[in-house]
Amino acid sequence: MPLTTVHEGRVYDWSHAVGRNAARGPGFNYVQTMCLGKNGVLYATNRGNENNFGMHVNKVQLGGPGEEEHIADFCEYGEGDGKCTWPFGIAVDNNDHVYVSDDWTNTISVFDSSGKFLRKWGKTGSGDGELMRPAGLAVEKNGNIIVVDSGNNRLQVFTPDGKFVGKCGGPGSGDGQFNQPWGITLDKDGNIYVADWKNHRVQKLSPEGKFLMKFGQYGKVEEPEGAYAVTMFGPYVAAQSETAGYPKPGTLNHPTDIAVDPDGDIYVTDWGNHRVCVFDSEGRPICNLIGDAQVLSKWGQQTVDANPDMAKARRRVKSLEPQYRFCFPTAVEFDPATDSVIVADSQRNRLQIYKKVRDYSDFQANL
Amino acid sequence: MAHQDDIALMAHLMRRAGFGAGRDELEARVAKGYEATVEELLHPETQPPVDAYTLLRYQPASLLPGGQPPMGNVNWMYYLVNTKRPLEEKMALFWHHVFATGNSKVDNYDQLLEQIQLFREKGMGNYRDLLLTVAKNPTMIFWLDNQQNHGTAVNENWGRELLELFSLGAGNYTEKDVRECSRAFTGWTFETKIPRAPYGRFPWKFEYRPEDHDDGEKEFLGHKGRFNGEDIIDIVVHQPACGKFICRHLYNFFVADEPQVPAWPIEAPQDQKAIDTLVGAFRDAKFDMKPVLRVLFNSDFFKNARFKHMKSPAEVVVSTLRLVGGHELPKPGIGELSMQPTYMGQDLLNPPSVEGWHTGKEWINSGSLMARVNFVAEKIGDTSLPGVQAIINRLKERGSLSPEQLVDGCLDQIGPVEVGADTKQELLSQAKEWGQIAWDSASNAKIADQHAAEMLQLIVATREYQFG
Amino acid sequence: MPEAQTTQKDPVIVVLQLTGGNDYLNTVIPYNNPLYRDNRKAVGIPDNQIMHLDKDYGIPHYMAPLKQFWDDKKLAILHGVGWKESPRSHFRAMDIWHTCEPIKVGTEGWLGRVAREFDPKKENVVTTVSFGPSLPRSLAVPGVPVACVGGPLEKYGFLPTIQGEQRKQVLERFAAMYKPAIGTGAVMDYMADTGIDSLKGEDILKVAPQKYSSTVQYPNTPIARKLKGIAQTHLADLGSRIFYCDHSTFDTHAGQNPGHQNLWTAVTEGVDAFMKDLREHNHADNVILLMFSEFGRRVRDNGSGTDHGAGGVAFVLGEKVKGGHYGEMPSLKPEHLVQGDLDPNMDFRSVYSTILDKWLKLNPAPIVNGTFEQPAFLH
Repeated sequence: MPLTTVHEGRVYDWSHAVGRNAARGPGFNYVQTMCLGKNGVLYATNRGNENNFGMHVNKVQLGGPGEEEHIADFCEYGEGDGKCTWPFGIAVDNNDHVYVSDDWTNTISVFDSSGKFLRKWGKTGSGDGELMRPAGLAVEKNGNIIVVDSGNNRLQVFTPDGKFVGKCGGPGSGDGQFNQPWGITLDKDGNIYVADWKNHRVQKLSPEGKFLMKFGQYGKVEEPEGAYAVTMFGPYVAAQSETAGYPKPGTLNHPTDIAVDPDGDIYVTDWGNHRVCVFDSEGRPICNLIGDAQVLSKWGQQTVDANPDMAKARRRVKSLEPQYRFCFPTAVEFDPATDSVIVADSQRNRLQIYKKVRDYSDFQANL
Repeated sequence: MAHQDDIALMAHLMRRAGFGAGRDELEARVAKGYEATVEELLHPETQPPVDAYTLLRYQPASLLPGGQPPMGNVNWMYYLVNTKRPLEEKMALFWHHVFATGNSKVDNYDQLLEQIQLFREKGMGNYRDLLLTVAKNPTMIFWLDNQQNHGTAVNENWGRELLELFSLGAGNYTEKDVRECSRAFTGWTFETKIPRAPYGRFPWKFEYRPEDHDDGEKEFLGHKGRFNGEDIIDIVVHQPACGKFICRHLYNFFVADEPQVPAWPIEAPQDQKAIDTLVGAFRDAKFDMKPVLRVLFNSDFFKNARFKHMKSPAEVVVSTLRLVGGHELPKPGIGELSMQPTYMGQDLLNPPSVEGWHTGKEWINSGSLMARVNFVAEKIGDTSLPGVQAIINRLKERGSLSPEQLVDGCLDQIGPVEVGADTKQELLSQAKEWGQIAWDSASNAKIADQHAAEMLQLIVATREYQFG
Repeated sequence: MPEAQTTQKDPVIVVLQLTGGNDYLNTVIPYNNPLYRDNRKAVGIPDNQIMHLDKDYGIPHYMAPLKQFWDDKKLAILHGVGWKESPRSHFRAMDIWHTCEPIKVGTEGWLGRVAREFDPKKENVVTTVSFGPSLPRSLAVPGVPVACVGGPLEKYGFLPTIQGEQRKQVLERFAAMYKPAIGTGAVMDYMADTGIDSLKGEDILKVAPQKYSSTVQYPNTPIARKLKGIAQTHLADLGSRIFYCDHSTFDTHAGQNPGHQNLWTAVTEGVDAFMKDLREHNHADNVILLMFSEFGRRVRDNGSGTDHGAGGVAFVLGEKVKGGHYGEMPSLKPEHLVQGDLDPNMDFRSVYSTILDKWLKLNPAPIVNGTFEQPAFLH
């Protein structure tokens, strides 16, 4: 996979990676979702594990390659206000208030941008305003919060104070129905895109929740002959990685998140296929991004520099390609200010950032 | 009652070939028939696989768990509790007992989980193929230092354990055979893998290095030739000792407790005829496992071996969680829960050495007995769990129960479980203290539920309940 | 020999098993012997990392805490321990150490027999306390109770969720169900004994962590936690005479240099804290600590580690131990090796015999199945 992908007028330049495995401080610990604040600030929910209990939200200032800074950790593991058990969804509103869903306690907690706890709501159940494993979150222009109520297979809307406003959806695979959805995003017109996880598709709804469009169908590959399986579920690194280890465009395997850019192009994290699929606004597949982290992130390099035996081992490996590739990417954001596609490469505890290049002109082919 | 016998026999089959079954499942399986059930167990592909994606949504760290527990244990526990392919999972546990590979040295739970997946996929296939796959499994190579086994400096660890523990058993080869065997496996190694810093673990990939291989003439178990590893395996599987060793392992795991493996060269099997039957099937099937298992589960010696097996900690924990229900989702606390077999003496994915665990009676000591009783009692006493409610609902069907009916009903619904006369007397004495229990009013129902749960707790605390 | 100050308490033995086959030659290093360097091209300890005990032997720097015990003459080093034709198999070799039966398959652990001598009527079910989840064979004799503390000492007991008056009734019913009955078989009887003894043990042991108070900080390693549990129990004066714990795995086929270091750092730091704790409470005089492993390792390394061998080293440490070398390191000369291994020249049962005879004041012969010369490492 080349570092610059050119396809149907879109050009994606791999820029840099951010992160490393860390339960707190600079790094990530199994990102579930993320959201962008103002001026390149990113918030991410970290699932942690039951060894380090590194469940938390972290706030990172993004910039050019190597300019990232870790700003804060908050909403850490524990009981009571301001703590979490299973942090999942995250969204930020116009006041820089951060909303975090917890899919074990079935609550939505609200923090200010420095991480100070403000309020929370949520009750377990299936009635109006009740939640069951709430997943992704999105903030509407009017400040209302849309919650992907994944255990109830529906979307619910709340005021910023947690008052129930409305709902849509229900279990099933028909139009407007969901099966354990994960992530959500809104485009500039307020249309709602939901990653319908177990239906292996993305659905687009109007701001009122009416079904508009769907795309994607189930597809995955078996392990190709002679490929190197990075995990027993892939990705597979083979001689022609682009095609060998990846199913055809338009097929999805448990998609988790979506982002929409100002051109209307749609980015879908095809979690089980370890890639980001780019679709146009009609839902037609354009190209795939499969992860191209050939250069270590700043924090990653720091770790390697501190461990000479790791550095030595890296030099002996026949091919570092397995390390370039996404492994279960869970979330994607598009930052219009920098034209960046930011992907949470969750199993590798890093972000991979691509730039959508605007003024690209074809290079001279006979250089 | 013929039906009751069928239920009891099916419960025995499901305990051994899987991790037990609740009454609803037992009734459905009895309706299907014993032989048909054996066939279904032998064909796991007819049932859906475990949905690993749900595990990874809620516990993403269980895919690449690193070197410290419990996320590796979480991963396997999820499969054990949720699988609809019980014999496939039980065979993976069986082979993990035999090809015991431990995290204390491997330091990569991801690699050990891949080994378990290998046992799921190939555990009921052909034994010779499985042995060859294991010989090429980088985790096994690392565990037994075969990557340090060079033509110029032979390391005998893998060569010895292949013969002593994975195929023939002690006493069926000489020290020279160990040496020659080890020579044949020189060059069987793995490529350097991308190290774990900074982005997590990557798996090994097997590599054969011909330049490191000693391809000189070897003399192994009376055969001469320029043997490589595959040749050794071919010679080994055809040794009569191999069939006897593997079939004795199968007998010990599925039928009845044998003495510990180190005693096998000295002490004969308790049922030589049964072993001979299995060995015959093994040989006739050219080392395919399914025909042997089919013979085993359909045999009289198996059917008559009820409660002759001390449940391993894995069986205690998994069968309890499957019975009581409510543990299908990997909820918070799954880490501690997945370590329960460890506290009972069986640290899954981390056996104390390549020789595996001491089984049978040796699972029991004052520490582990306490851990087993405490764990099962806590779960079975939790009336909020669906499986416990299901048991109590069946008891409720009568409306009211005398002390005898309570004891018999509980013994039946939780197994069926058989207890000795003295034990039964004590259970009855306890039930008599409570008198008749009934669900005829809200307040009586509350008391009845409580006493039913307490009776279940007493039953799982008995000695008899430790057998399966 | 003048009678040393005693605390008038019964002698106690603590066994720390080094599981996996500890490498003798990198533990007690014959640093002046050129054959050491010749055979240990890969895993030999560099000269500047060896702490000299005397002109012939040293210990690696990572065993430093033991040096003080050596200088104070409280550490006995037992050379070349093993037995003739020892197997190179972990299970089998460790079973033999545990049961003193090199030929047949032994069923009785030597310390189980000791416990039976101390307390034939089972009047004190915490006579033997083992720290670790599995019961070692050395402690196992049918009918002899062992308190097996698998987790933290504070949490030891049956059905902990049932409390109060109900607990008493439930535990009584439990005890009644665990009465041994005729004709139910050996395993059922074994479980009956186990259950009843656990009940009694629970009552006794729960006192120990409650009474404990100390300034000593133990390192946060599994072996140090076990040694702390032993200290707490010993300091509570519950009449426990036999303590057992283990650390693993010493099976350093590969990567021996970092591996061996990690293992011995944890062990020696743990032992150091343990002895400090006992001394602070004036409870060290009646305790000795035995450290042993099931075999030593091959003389020639395999490029990264060492493989299973034969003759090994054992240590005995304590206030009443006569420090020094006992026995002699077997010759490293190729013509003297047995299958490439050090030929054991001190039978392991000799070590046990000294402990049994001189410390525990028992007749060793029936316990170790024979009469063996006794190295004189105890006053």
